[in-house]
Amino acid sequence: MTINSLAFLIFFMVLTILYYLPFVKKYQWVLLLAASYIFYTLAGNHNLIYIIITTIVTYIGAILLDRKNTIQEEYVKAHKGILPKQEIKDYKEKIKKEKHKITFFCVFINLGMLIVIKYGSFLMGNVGRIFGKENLSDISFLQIAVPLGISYYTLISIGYLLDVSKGKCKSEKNLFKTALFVSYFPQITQGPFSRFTEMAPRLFTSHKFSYENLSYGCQRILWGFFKKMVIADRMKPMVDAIFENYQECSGFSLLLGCMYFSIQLYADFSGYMDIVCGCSNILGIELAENFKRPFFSKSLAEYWRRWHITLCSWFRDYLFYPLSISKAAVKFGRIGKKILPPSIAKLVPSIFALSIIWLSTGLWHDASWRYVFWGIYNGVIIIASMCLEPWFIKIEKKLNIKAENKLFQGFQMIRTFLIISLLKVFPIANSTKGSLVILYKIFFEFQMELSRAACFPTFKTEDFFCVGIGLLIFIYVSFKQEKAPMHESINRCPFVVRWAIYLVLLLMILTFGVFDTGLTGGFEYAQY
Amino acid sequence: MEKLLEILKGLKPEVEFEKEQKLIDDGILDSFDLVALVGEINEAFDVEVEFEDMEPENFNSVEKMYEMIERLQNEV
Repeated sequence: MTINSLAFLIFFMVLTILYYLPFVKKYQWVLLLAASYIFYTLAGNHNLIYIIITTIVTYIGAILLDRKNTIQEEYVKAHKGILPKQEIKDYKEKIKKEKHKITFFCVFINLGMLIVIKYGSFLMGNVGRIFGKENLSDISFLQIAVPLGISYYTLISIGYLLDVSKGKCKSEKNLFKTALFVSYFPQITQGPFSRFTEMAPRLFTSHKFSYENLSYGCQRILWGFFKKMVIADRMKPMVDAIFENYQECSGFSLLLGCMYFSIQLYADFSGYMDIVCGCSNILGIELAENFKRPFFSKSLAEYWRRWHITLCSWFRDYLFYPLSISKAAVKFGRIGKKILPPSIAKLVPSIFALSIIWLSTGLWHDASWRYVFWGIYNGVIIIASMCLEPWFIKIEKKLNIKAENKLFQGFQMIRTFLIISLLKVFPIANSTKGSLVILYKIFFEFQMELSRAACFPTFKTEDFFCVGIGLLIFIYVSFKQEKAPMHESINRCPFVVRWAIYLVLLLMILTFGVFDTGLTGGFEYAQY
Repeated sequence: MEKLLEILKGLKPEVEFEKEQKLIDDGILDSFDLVALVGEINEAFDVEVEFEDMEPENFNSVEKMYEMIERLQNEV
């Protein structure tokens, strides 16, 4: 069962009706937990053991960490002003070490499962290649089907543990409530990555039915389906046709294909987010936003602050900060100060952390070399633009280019779009070799050809019409959203206009949308 | 406080730090600035800003940063 199936719509309607029944009010979170596990099973995961282990480990770990925090607080309170400061500091250090051990153990179990299941074959395959044993990746325990959403719920759980360890939140004492936080169905397959501090009050309290929530939720669901079915699913066959025959395509067609894939992936992934956020809104539970019009970004670094926001902020808070202030980063920083100009030397700890993060982000997406290259490509561009920034500013000053110049901003946006489109050669190809061949063709066998077959293979006249109109609306809405949330503008419209917008959108989905999910599959990002 | 302001001015001369109360929330300081700032604070005030301290509320204003530095100094 995918989110864009009729089965899901029926599942969600039944859940909503049950959710708002008067006698269920007190037990809404119990219903959500049951619904989440039913959804998870219907989505194809018959083996629940991994998510259950993660839940139990996270639950116990959080309680133990919380207990350590309380013990420390009580000790400091009782001995402040009585014992020497150094003694209190030593005690805090001791507790800190104990907390590190608990956190390490829990992260080891949760991350260990993810590594063995998702990366076992990749790691053993590479080890085998080094030692001349090609069949090492065929070891039976490494052939476990990767459970849906394992990358998502693992990181969500680790984030919760680290927050408790920091004392940012208290641990949840009810195992089943922890289970709901880990498995909440709208976010389990593709995110967003929620934080316990934000989600706990929303998930575990009762919600009254609200027309505003229903109306806003339906708007978002409708908009999500529009993006998915009218734009993404109509573009998918064309993108597939280009990259299935990449050997025969010119570099020009492949570059166009990369740009189409950028648009398709954005419509697909942000469409999914709109649908799940809309569903969650109907239930009175707001989810974190995952997109902020990424194609308006003026640099790759900004793009990553607007695309898959919750994943990027997870990596920033739980990996980038600890790494960049670690002893190793400080050491590199000191060396940098001796040999580099001050403007670059101050960036050395960040560069150290970014190098590890981009490698991890690449591997998080998939256990393959092409994603390692994808991570390196991202890291190199971001680090290079950080280091070259002072020179860029000097050039802009010399050429009298102002940062607020609309034409210059447009140039920056197009440049960023081209960079992120080129990055798509890694996820779109089915092998590392394929990615590199596509990249080679784009740069060395460009051969510009303006025929319909070269520019829009498999695209029929109706596809031009549907995708064209779809994209125009999408671009218009994106510009409006840059200024103010779209739903606020819609809500200000008179009743007749508002309903006319809903009906037109619905009619467009029904007439322009692709309904054959067998042809289009689920959502692109579910594979991660 | 003056020493801290000097560090901040060196990092972003165009920002009026005395007036800002949402340096992190409003994106005036990004994560790279924050890391560079922590390095400078550690050296200038002889403290060790740790992972637990890397929270927006500790860096949203000069006053909050100074509060954190004082707390870290008092812990020694």
